[in-house]
Amino acid sequence: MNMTTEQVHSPVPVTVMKLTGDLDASSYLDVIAAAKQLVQTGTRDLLLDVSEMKFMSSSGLVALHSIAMLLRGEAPSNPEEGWSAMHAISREVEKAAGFETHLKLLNPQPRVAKTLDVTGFARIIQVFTDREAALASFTV
Amino acid sequence: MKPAATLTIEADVSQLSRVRQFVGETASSLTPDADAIEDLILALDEAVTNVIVHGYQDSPGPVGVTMSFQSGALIASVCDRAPPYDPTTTPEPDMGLPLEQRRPGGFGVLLIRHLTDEIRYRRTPDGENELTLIKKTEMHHEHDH
Repeated sequence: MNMTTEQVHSPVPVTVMKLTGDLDASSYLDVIAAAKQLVQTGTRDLLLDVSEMKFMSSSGLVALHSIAMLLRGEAPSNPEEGWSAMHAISREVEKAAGFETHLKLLNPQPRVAKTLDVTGFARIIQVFTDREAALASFTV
Repeated sequence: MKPAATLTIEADVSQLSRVRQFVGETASSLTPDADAIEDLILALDEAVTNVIVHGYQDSPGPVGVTMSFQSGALIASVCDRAPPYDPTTTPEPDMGLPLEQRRPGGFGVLLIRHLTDEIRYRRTPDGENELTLIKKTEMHHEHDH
């Protein structure tokens, strides 16, 4: 899994993080760690460009959930806790009253989109197919 | 029944990409149904991840993946020597129920169930866990389901 980031102002500062490769149990902790570093250095809004992400397992869902919590200023569930981490995520999906405001996804491939849909994540993390529209959706 | 192919890996998440490659290549030699193949690749990744992380709990051990084709279906079995664990008895998380009425469940098992047609578990006489995933295929694949 390769990760690159860029900073964009449109209209608020947004970090665009591009994930290339496979997001599985061997790589999800690296993605969470990278996002944590971004948050610690000032990122408040994050657009994940997953157009080149060819594969995502449920480990990737744990990463998305953890990153959303980091951006909200909350401590993420410990992904090593397995079932209880998953239970915490189920609870989030359940109570979600709308989309996350600080984390959005750009251009998931059809297989990844299917996983987001089946697990209910498509209801909590907004998916865009247009980069400019995605960037413009972040608000102060 | 087309002959089976087997891959054995060490229980380490770094081996998951090998599992996906093996499942994809073997399944492609057995059926042209690309959707079924992709479903099975993700289901197998989830099953093997569960064995490595929850079964062996990151201690070393072998994991075997065997693929075959029978009666129009791809059949994949995962064998391991971790303590007994039957994912077929894990309650499915019902996304329509309030949390208080739900039992804990993993998205991995949810995905396995959603992506396959049947899952079977047995503890073998040799003391191994054997989880078998069955995925029906389409002979003439023209549409998304």
